[in-house]
Amino acid sequence: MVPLDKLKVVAISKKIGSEDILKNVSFSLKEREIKVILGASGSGKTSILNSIAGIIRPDSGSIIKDGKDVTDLEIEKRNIGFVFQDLGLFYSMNVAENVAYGLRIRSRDLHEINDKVAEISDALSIASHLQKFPSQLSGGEKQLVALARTLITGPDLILMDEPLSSLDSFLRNSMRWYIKDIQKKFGVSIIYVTHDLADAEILGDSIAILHEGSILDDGEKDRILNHPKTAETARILGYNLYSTGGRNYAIHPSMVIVGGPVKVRIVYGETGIKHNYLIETEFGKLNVVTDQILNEGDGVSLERSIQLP
Amino acid sequence: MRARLGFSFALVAVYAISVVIAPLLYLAYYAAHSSTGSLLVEVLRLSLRQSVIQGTVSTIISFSIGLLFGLLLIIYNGRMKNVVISMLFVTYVMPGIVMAIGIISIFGYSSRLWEIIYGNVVYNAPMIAVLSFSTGNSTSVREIYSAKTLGAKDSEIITKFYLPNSLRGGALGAILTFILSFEGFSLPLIIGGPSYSTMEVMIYELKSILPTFSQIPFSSASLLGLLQVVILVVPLYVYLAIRSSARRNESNLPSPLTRYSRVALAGLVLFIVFVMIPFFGMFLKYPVWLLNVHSITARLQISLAVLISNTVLFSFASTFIAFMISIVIAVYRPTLRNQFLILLPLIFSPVTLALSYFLIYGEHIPTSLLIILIFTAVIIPLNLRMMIQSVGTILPSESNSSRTLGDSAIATFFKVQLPRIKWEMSTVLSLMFITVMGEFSSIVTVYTQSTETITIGIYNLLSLRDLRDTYNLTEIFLIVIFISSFIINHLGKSGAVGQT
Repeated sequence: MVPLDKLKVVAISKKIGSEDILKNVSFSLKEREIKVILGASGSGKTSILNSIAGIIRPDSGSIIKDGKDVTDLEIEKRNIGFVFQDLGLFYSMNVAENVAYGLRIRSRDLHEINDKVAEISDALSIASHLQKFPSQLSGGEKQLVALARTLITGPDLILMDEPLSSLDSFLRNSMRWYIKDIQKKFGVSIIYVTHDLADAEILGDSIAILHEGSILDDGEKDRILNHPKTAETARILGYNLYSTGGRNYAIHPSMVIVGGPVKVRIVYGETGIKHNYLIETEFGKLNVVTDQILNEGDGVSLERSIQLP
Repeated sequence: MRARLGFSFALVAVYAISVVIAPLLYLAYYAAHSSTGSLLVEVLRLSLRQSVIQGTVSTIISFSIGLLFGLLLIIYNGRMKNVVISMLFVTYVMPGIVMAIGIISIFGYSSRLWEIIYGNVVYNAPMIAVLSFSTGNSTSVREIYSAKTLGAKDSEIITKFYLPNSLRGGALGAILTFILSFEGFSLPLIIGGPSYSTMEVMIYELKSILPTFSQIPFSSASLLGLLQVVILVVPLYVYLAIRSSARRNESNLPSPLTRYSRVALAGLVLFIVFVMIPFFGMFLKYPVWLLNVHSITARLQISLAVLISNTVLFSFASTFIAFMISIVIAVYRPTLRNQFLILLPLIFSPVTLALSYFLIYGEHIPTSLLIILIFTAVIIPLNLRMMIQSVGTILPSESNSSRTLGDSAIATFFKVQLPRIKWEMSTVLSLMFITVMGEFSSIVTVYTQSTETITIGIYNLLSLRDLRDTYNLTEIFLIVIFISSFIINHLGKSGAVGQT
């Protein structure tokens, strides 16, 4: 028997005023999978999550969870966890009360609540903060509290709306691995929306590319990152785009090989952990990120370019 | 989700029909049966004229004074700022009858138009000043420093930056002043006399003193009430349509006009003295320790304890009911496109509201219940508006988190949202409580002897020309207001506040 998808979003559309914010969006989420929806600001990422959670109702289409249509189901009856961009912690409650909230409203036994709070706060290393209020926590600690509060109720899946966007780059990087680790431990399915390619690279099992309310591409992470199907997808993933011989190509800056037939003029060059260049070639301007030093008049190879349809 | 939309709509529909539409229909029915004789036309003409004059003149003067002192509030940047704002606020929440008694304590019984105008200005200018300040103060300090680096003088900073922003709040206050002065009741009734009766006063007199002015009782009063609703619906719509929400100025930069702070404070102190004169007047003239309870009881034929308990009971019951109704509507409101429906009861002046409710429910329920119902309808719009604004300051993700974790909308309100706005709600509750305690115009239209409140007692003592007892009872009233609102405010803020 073919296993059911954990969640299936079927052709949802949403219009606000005269603007189409979601256009016929469809994708699915498998059991224990992290699907990253990657798109620029204003592309409709949050609206997709809000539709799945029941915060807004799509004008058309349906949301199927575990084989059941939940499109018209009340938010509180969906059992879908949500970690909001600003986390949505309850600032009038301390950490322990925040984490226990979902169990309390399910009228669980007090001992069970205390045990589960202790268990999850140990697992997420927030046990020492239980009596603090959200305003006394650092950005990373708040993330963990939001995660703990969501995980404790055992949701069928979790929605994450750019929860790391307010963190500094160092903390963001460690939190990515932390989320990955937690997801493996708890075996939960996650839909994670972001504009940050690094989130997609580290967290995603599959990636959907969202642009102006439409899904441009959706598939396994390796395929999406290494073989973008369209120019727009390639652009969102940071590829250089160029045309030659009436055909369109894309090449990632890290795929440009120093030493090759294509002569370059260096427009700008900066050295960081890697060497970064903006070069001018017969195919136009290209970004290059490489371990090697590139000099004026050197050549590069574009043989790892992908041909676009 | 669709069922929830339907439920929200049903809630608002029941609310609109019972609180606004049915009373309006009753008013229209009775008004249609009034005899349009020349006497009624003359009554209408004279009262309309007074309403327009008092409304217009009071608005112009209040706006000019209020805007000026709103700007001084922006410029003043010292420790006393919150004290000054609180004192200005106190005058605004004082009952109209107290203002009228205060003015009589200074000027005596003289029945002059300018005294009514003075009362209106003292009552409304502080509100305009605070509103002008709140929108003017949201001017970006960074913008001002940018202008200064480009060479702008201080006078240009005020006229080009602060003034335009202050005008938004000031205009809102001016419209409200016009509405409140147009439907002025306590001042024209108590210190104006028959020559200065506004439409509101005439509605009361046609209902309570001359109910059989037309063939069908109360029909002339209903006609005036309906006309007043029609006249005020436009300014009211404008008032509701103006968005005056002020941005919070988050900049840590120092105030750009600090050097004028002392001058501004001097001006503000003068303003406070100007608006506080009526209140200080009576306390100085008739100190509260000269209170003679037996004299008041003998005069009114009702004990002081009954007056106080009636006042507190009606106020508490209506505040509680209005608060609960507001919660239900505020929780389900986000599905509504138009807040105008919720705020519709504002189109009724208190006397018109009392008259229409009297016509519908007067014969079917006890007067005490009728009074509670009227008080509730008087304060619901204010409460709802402030509650919705307070809830709007909380990030939606907090309530959405609670919902996604499995809680219902109403439970989310009590567990997540209310604790976050309990300080604001305590203030709103106190305000509502003070408003209904001081409510005079509606209750004087429907009361019976057993349902007399302190404001009615004050009015009756004044009618008997017993000035000493009038002032002493007013002072007792102010003390009761202070203690009750303090208790409500304190109760609302008790318990773990949490960290914000």
